[in-house]
Amino acid sequence: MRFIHTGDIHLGMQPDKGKSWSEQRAGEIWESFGDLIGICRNENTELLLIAGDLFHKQPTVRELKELNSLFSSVPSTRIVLIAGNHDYISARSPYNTFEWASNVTMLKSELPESVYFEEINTEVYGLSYHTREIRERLYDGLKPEHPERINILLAHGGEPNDIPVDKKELAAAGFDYVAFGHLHKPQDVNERIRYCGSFEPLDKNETGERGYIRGEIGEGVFFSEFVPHSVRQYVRAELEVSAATTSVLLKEELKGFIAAKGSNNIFSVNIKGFRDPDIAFDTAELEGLGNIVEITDESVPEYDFDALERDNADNIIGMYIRKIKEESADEVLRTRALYLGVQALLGQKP
Amino acid sequence: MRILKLRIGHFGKLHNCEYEPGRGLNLICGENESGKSTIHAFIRAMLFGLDKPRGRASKEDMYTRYLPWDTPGAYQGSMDFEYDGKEYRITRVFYQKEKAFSMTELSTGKEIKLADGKITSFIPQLTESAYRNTVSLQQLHVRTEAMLAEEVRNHLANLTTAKSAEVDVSAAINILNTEKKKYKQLQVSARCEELEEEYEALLEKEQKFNRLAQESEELAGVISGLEKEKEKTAAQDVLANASVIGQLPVMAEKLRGLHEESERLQREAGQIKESREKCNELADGLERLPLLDAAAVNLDKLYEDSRRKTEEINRTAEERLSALTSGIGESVSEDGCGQAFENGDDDEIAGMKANAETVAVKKKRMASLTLIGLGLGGAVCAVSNNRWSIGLYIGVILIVAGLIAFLFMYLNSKELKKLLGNISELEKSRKSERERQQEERIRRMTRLQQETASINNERQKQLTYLQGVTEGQEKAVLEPLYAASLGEVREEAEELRKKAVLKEQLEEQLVRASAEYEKRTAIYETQKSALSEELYKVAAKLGEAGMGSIVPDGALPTAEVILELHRQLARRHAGVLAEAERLDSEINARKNERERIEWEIDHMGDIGAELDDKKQELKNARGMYDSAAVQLEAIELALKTATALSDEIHDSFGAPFNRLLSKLAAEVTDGRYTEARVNKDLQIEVMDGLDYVSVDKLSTGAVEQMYLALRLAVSELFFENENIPLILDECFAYYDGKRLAAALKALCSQENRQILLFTCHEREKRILDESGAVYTYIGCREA
Repeated sequence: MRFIHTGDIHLGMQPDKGKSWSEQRAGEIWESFGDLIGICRNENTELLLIAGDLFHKQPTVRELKELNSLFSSVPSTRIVLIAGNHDYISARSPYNTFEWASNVTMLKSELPESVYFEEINTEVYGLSYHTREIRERLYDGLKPEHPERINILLAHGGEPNDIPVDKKELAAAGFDYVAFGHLHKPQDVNERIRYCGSFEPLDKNETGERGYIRGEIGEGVFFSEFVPHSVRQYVRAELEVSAATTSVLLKEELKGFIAAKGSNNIFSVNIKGFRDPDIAFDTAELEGLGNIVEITDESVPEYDFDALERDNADNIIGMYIRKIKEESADEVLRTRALYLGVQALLGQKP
Repeated sequence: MRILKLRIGHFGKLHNCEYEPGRGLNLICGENESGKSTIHAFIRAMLFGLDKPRGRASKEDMYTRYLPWDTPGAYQGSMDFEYDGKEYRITRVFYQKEKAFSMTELSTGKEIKLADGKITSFIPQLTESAYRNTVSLQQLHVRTEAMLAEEVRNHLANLTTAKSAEVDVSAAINILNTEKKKYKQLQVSARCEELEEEYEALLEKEQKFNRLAQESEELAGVISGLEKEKEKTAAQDVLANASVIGQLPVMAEKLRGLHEESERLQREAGQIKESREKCNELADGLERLPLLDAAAVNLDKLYEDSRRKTEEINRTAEERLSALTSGIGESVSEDGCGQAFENGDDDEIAGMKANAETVAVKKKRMASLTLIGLGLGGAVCAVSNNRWSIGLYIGVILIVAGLIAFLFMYLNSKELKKLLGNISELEKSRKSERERQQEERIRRMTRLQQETASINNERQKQLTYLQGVTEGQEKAVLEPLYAASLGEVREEAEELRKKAVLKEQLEEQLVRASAEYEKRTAIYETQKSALSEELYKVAAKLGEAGMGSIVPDGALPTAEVILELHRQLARRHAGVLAEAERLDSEINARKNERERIEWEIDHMGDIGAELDDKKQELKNARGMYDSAAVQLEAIELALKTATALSDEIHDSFGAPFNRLLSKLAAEVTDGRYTEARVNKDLQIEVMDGLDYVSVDKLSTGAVEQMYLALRLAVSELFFENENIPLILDECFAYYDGKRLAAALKALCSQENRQILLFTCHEREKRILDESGAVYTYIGCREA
């Protein structure tokens, strides 16, 4: 049985509001999901699992109709979906009354239910969110009723506010595969319990590849793999500066970085290292170089603390450097405090 | 160290001047703007150089301030000084383009190299900041007390912690505090708490939205339930819907009509029956009528025969009698002529009597005229009374007329007497004639009577016989009919005839009535069956409505039953209507409520989107807050460390410093304050009575005194045995005479220290002269 596991598509979301690419991103999420349906068709996928948060918020009927028409274009793929914490089934949700195409099954119950597909001998268990948060451990104690079938749990959450899960217990429950949604970073509890991650990255913290999980389950066969698919990625650009780095050089470096990573991607830029104490970087100028969602400047003026300490052995600067070095606080904090104090004692404003 | 000579080329307003300060106290006097501060600045420039600062000009730009605008090349000077037993000369050209510096030992001419061109590398303690803070005291009188206290405090902080290095701990702590404030501000501006509250509020709003949606849903259910109930109620009212109720009174009316018709028909059937019976009755006896008629004819004939025979008999008798009478009748006719004669006599007499009558009337008239003429004439004459007048003439005429009338009356009376005599004679002859005729007539009559009697007797015998025959025949006819007479027969026949006519009429009526009856019965039946059908329909509907049958046994119910039913149904319908109305009002109330909820829901906006935005905002704010927190932690650590170090340094030299400060304070204030110290917060405190009080509680003059004592103490502490010159620039502006005297006394006691006291007042000179102190006086005048 060939399946695709996705979730957290967040259709209808407009990431990075206020940025120039934001609106385009909203459209890209739809297009990208359309591609996935195309993949199902081309690969003759038998089961498409959508693990919640298909929509970013309550879908409109219009959106459901669009989606349904997309779903109905792959009649040979059985599509099972659940509502997550973002698109939970509220009293007014169009999910309540929407008539899906015949190949689509939405597990709408608040409590676990299942659907069985005889042709592929597969039973899919799942439930839908009816509130924004669920603190009850609804998946605990859930076990497949027919061990002879291929049993899949389609789940969303696993966090304290979103159906906490005892992962050990879940691993022992007897499901052939647990398709989890909710966490946006793709990750595995074990090889059979996987989070597919967000389908398209949705904010600057969602760096790295995004896509879906493709797999196959059969007699003595189990296989699943993460397939990168997102239109764009969020990339963190760590720019290390030195006393020799000027604004112009920094700009060139960032330009080169963006070109190398792909200018289509969206970048979070962080400047670090030791700069010439006389130089301040113009971050506003850097923002124009590409899809830059954020720039932070963590660079510090280059001080030779050893020399400073030596030269100021008997005054407060030397004493300060010594004392901070002796502090038990963590390295990062100490370093920060060192820069701040010395800078201040030298009469320089940060 | 002691300054021996200052040679000023061109420096600010000073041109080509030389000053030679002596040992101990030097009083440099000059009016304002006479160049005292310029000398002060020149000394500093000699020691530390005077560079044109790079970049934009600042108020610290001493280079530009003292640059002679017309002779920049002469922007130079030199200073001779004694240090550690040797004399040196520093020569400087300040002009940027020709900048030059040299320091030579005067006795040997050996050039001494100074790193950075600053004296610090030659005398390590003498840093520029130490110079600024201790050696050189700027005039302070323009400062307010608070600023002064702050200045002292800051100065002290720098001195106590910096020692030989140029480190401004206070400024550093200020910088750190400013940073701290900035990040705190950043945390505040992140509005995390508010955003969290807003987010919570939105969550609540969402819950409310869901609750309202739920309520609306439930209301929709309730409304649909109520509507179903209403429908059900309306269905119960099927009769009303089918306008049965409206039909019922009409049906009742029809029923009433039908019942009445039925009664009428029954009555008519009875009448028809009666009529038929009567017809039968009338037919009884009618068969005698022909017999009776025949008998009547026979009798009529019998009586006719009898009458004819009787007439025959009588005619025969009459003829005989007539014949008899005609014989005797001639005599009877004679008698008739006598009669006529008699009548002629009578006419003659009557004519004569009429004439007599006419004459009698004439006689009466004449008598009257006589009387009138005589009477009137006499009367008139009498009235005229012997006079010959018209009256008398008239009276005479009247008497004459009367006499004429009397004459005529007399004539008439004579005629009348003659007439009456004629009449009487005629009447006497006539009477004797009539008596003879009467006797003749009686004799004839007696003979006639005898013959008539015989004829009549015979006729009577014949008639009696005829009567006997007739009666026998009559009896033979009447007897079989049990009738007494022909009259009876006729009467009975007449009666029977009448009955026959009656029967015929009755029969005719009966035929018409029967036909009418049949026709109406048919109509009645049709109507009845139509009504029955209607009733069955109603009954069926009633049955549906669970109201049972209204047409028991298939018979038509009475109108009253239907009317009663109508009343019941109307009552029930009214009940249904009331229920429907109640349901309607309930439905409306629920609908209104639901509308209100829907309105509220509609006005809640897109909560999902709002929540999402708020969540993102909150996330960003938290990021900002957290990164500020990290920075704050570092700042706190830096602050904590710097402050701890500052305290540590303070503690390390606090006690000896305080002793020195106390000694100098006692000198400067002439024993007013004998104990002073610098506390942990680097504030000067003095013993006033039993307690230490902060120096800023003192008067301005006292603060300045303590400031001076502090400077002296600090410079002694800093430079220890170096005896760096002390430059006091207008320090005593706020001192009263007594304080000034004490201060000057204290300065003079600084035996090994060269002091340059700049002042624009003569007070200092006078006090010094009065006290007999040894000092060098340098007058200062603008060149």
